[in-house]
Amino acid sequence: MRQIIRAGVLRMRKSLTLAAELGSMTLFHFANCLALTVAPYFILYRFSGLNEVPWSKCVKSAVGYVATQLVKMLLLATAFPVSAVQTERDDLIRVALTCTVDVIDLLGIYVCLTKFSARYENSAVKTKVLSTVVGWGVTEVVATRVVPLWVEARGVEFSWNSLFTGLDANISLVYLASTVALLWMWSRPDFNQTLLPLLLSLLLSLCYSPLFLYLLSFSFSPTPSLLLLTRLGVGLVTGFLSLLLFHGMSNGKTKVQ
Amino acid sequence: MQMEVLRDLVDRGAGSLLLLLPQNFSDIHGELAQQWRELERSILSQKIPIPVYLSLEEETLGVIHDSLASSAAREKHSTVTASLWHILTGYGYQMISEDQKEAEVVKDSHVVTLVGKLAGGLGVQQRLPTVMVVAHYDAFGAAPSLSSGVDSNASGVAALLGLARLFSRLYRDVKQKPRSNLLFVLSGGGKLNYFGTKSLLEEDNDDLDSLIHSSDYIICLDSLAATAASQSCDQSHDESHDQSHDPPHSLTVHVSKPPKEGSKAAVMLDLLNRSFSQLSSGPLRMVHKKIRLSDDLLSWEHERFSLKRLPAATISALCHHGDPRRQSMFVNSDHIDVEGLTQNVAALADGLARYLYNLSSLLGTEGEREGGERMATLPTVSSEYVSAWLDYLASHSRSPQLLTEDHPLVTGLYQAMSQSLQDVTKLVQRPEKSDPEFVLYHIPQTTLHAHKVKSPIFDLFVAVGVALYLCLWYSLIEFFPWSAVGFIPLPLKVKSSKS
Repeated sequence: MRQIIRAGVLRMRKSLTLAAELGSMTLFHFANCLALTVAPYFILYRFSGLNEVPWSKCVKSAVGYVATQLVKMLLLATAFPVSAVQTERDDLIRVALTCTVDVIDLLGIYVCLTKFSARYENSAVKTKVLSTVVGWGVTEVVATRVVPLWVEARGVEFSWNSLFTGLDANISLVYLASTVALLWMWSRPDFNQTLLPLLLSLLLSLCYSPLFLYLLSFSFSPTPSLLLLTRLGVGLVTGFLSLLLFHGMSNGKTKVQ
Repeated sequence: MQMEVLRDLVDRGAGSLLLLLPQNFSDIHGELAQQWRELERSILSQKIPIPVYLSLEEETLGVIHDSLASSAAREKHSTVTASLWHILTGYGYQMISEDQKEAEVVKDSHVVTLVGKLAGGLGVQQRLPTVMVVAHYDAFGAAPSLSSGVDSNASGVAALLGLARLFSRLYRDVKQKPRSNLLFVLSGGGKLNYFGTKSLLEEDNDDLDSLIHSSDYIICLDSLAATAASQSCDQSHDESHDQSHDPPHSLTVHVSKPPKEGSKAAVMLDLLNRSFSQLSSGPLRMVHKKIRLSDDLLSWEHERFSLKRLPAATISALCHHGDPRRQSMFVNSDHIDVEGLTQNVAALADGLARYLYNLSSLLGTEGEREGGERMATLPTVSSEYVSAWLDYLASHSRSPQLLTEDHPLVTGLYQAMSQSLQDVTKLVQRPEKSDPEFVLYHIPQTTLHAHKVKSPIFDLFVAVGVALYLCLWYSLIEFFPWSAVGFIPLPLKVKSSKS
């Protein structure tokens, strides 16, 4: 008897919201994730006084991003061919390699920062840094977050993944902002060379944080949310240090001038 | 009870219904099995406006079911906060079937009937009388791919194959050969109103025709192994209720017309009766049911023969043709009494042999003795053989649309018959084009995808959360005194300003 009741009735939801018609995750949910992913960049652009600068400057950074990625891809494909058999150790090496190649990103950002914004020498330091952040960051977020989100949106299954992706994009923004600020400092001729070790270690820690996170997940296998929190923690610490350095320097500079 | 639940669901707007069948049908016993069969029958007999899916209870489905059941139980008595929390953390499931096409008609639908004989000795074959043993081998159930029909009619087929093997040994010895032909028929389309049998009788084949029409008696086998619980149709049900458990119930002979006193049919039944009382569970009980031509379906296979005025009877453990066990998938080999089946086969063989060797006239002690001697040479029925066939048949679903001409199971049966019988033929029978007797549909099988989904309320919560977060961002950028951070007195700053 119990079995009959048990086996009895698995009700299927007749038309659970839009999903049935779309054959995808609910449009609402998709909008949520998209907003979470992209809106911070938009807010940054719109409300940090960046919209007064011609946006072609941001576009230049975007082009810079694309070019850098192409160079990275070429390098990865030629120098580090993927082996057919993937073991966990291979995976570790792969992550380490990717992080190393990401150093090229720093080069790209540096070029964007110094060459593309050279003409706007008289514009504020903040604008210079932020325009690079927005140009580079938006392109990155479209390429690495929005496209996967769109693909994932075709599945019906709910997963926390897409929400995490959105949050992760926000953390990436913090990372990127710190990196750009640090690089700007390095590019200055009046940069205090005694701070170089600190600056370099911050840059490297930003660059190699994926490897650190990979090792962490490899040895402790934490939940995705915990991993996200760790990433956030690393980002906040390095971001705060960078912020201290940056403001110390920009304020000092204005004082000198 | 089930039907009411179902109707209630339809009224409440259920999109479709998924029935989880127990992974192993042997887990369901007695009353439960009966309830399942009733449910099956009601699903089949009633018009249900929503699609009904049947699936075996797999692990993943079990997990989904458990989570749904527990959430349903929680919904019943919970506070607002608890249910809100549940909305936030819990999942709903959305089931999507891969394709929702209507079942397609099988283009070249046909049934296959296998016929094999053992020719009697001493005399022209055609002039000798014939005894026919018939069993249909297909099965029926709510889900075609799950219908293995263990009792109806795997037991009949196993019994027939056992008989064929046994008598082939008797017929091999020229001296021992009885003066009758034995014709074995495995008819297809038994669940399609005995279409295979019908076509067999209309077959344009002189040899076969003469054999069939010279038959002394035609014995159809159907569900020979059902255990217990068939007393319900017993007339003296109320009286015998107390004792109904102790004796293994006897088999029933279903006839359309009681045989006349002294006719060959009467002799045959008499002999079978004696054999069954000696070797098996007890004397046969005769149930006489006239053919109602107004009915859409014939109730037993012998009625096909009776309609052609051939003497025929069906021997079955079931005493009513409407027994749900004949058309259900909820019968499995655990509900089957193999021992009893073997006994029944032995009794059948004994009775048939007595008839074939014409021992009916020697009923005295002398005859008994002589009969006993003869019987000593009658090989025993191998219960392994019977149960092996039973297992083999039970492990394959045998819906009529599956059993095409070259289906391995049909080939297997053909080979088994060829091993012991002569002139085994495979008759492929097709329904009439203009007015088909039956229409077969392809088995609609689909893959269900279960998707974890969140309720719209959850999305609303997420939207509020995202909005709050973005406001925080905005205020950080717009109002946070970023430059104030720079005034934190740091030795670093002093150095940089000096440089």
